[in-house]
Amino acid sequence: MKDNIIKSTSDTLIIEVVPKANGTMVLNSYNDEWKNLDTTKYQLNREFQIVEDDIFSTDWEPLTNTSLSKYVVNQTETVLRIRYSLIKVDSTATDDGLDIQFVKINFSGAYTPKNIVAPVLSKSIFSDIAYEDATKQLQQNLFKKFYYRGILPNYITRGDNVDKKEDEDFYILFSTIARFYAIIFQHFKRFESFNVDVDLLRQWLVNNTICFDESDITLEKLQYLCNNLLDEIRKRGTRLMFKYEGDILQDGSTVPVDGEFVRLIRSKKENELIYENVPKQCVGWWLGKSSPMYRGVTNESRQLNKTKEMTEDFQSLSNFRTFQQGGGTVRLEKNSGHNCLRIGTTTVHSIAGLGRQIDDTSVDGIYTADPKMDYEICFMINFASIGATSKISFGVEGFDRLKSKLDDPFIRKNSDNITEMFLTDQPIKNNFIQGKWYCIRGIIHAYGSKYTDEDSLNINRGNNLVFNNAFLRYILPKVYITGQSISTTYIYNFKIHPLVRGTNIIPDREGKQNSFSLGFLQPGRMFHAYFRNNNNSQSEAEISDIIEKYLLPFNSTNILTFINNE
Amino acid sequence: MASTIVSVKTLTETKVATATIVCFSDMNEDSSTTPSIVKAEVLKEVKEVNAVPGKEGELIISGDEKVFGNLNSKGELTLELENDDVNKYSLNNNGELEYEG
Repeated sequence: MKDNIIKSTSDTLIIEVVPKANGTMVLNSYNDEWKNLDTTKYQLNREFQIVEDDIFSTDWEPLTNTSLSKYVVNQTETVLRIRYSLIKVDSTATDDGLDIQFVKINFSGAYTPKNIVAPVLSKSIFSDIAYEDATKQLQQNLFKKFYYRGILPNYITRGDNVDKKEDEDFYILFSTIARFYAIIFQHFKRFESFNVDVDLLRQWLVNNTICFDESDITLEKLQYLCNNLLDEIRKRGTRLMFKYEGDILQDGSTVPVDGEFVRLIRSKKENELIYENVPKQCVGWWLGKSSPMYRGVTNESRQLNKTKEMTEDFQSLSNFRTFQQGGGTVRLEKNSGHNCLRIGTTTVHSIAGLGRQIDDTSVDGIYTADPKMDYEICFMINFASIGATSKISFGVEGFDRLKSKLDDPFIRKNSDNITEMFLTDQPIKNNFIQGKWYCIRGIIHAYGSKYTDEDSLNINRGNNLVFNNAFLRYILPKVYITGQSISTTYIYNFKIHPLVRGTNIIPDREGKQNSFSLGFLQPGRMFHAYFRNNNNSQSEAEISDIIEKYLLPFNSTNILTFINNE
Repeated sequence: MASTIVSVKTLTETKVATATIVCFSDMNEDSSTTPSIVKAEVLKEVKEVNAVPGKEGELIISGDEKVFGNLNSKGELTLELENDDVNKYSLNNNGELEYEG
């Protein structure tokens, strides 16, 4: 039932107006609104008093514009209390069916803003709670305890007449003390609800050197990290710190939050992040595998490979996108001691191989790529039986962040034309020897690489490519055989990995390139990571320092390749 | 003689040198005091509402909850109210916040 109704002439309503402002007000006018008030029968008697600190109150006096303007309303302490009662104007009026309702009361007046200058408090840990309503209420509560008997001795005189002016000295001193205690108490009260206080959780994690995106983290994730702090530290130096939220682990469980490395560099799933413990055969002198001045990455760096299979042999067709049309077939078959992908064509028009069909819109199985890096796509291929009309095509599709296919993802090295093909419908007969194994490498150079003369692939045919669209985020290579004659082709060791140590080998238009060799040093353990850094609140030096100090083992030599937009 | 303290909500608006205070009864028939949000205004000038300073163009939401919701990275405001049902709030065609009482 509503509480704003006068049902009889003996009822009074009390309205407590609690103004909030950063200054003082002198109110000089008011008007109120009532429902069902018949002014021919009844009249309202309006009185008011000013109550300060819930203790000191003025006498009740008639509410008029003049009487209102005598007082200064200070929001930190003042409550306006209005008392309404009903007076019969018509002596025949009765209380039967009386239902006079208070709706609202408005005040207006002059306002003087007050700036509180308290530099020490403003820079302290109490700055955000010093002026809150809860602190003010606590201060009033504490002051009452000081003011009335029970705590302070009676020889500290106060309260004889409950008059603020009379007890002004007491008020100034002890309200300040009450405020001081209220601030401290309110500050520490926060720790009662530590688990739901975002700022406290955030600060605690920072104090424990846990890395995360402070601008974007939710309460749930903060709670998870705090409850699993030691587990987060345990993950350092392991693959778990490179996992993304939602990844499925080997035991079938789902990763609940991004790993610490991912959080530090603010990496998203469409950003490049690959890493390896550099195999010993890739460092220094190793006959047939590496030399100190070599700047490239070979298939020996299995961990830098982006396909799902790290072995030379194919393990399962389901780990790759394949397609077959017409008489074309794709299956796994052993050849020359390797488990190969066998592509077969027949006399019916056939097309089959790795990648997706032209009209296929599914984007399963695409690989992340960063257009500011050089990549190499390579495989071993054997044309075991060559059909008269068989042709090989080798290319790569590009997709943006939303996995929509791009029309202009790549361009030829001489900027001649936009194309996604390394090799287009290259006839196999008369160009390749039947039964011989060939290694085919397609190189995609970084976006912004200087245009150079056209060069062919390592098989003296076709062309390499350059990233042509800075919004590219995914690639899907395609290698397929077309024809209308019987042919059999075998492929194994299909790999996609960075071309060089560093991001690019051809200088960009500003002349910068940062490929490097691992040199003559042969440390016991070397770690190399390539990643797109989205953390704009810390410098590369700071990020590198955090990674070296907290995330990677001390006994490892670390190389961090930042992929930047410049 | 029955003396009743009326349940009210107070809205104080202050500009450069003027102040207005509106105090209205907020109790419903079922003794609840919803809606929690009293006013949602995109300011057309600099002013303070309940001691919260606001600039022209800012959205100020007034009521008796400590937190009204949160903004996501796309700038979408999601209402989260402790003492009220957010589903009773909606935007009309003029972009004004309405409450289904």
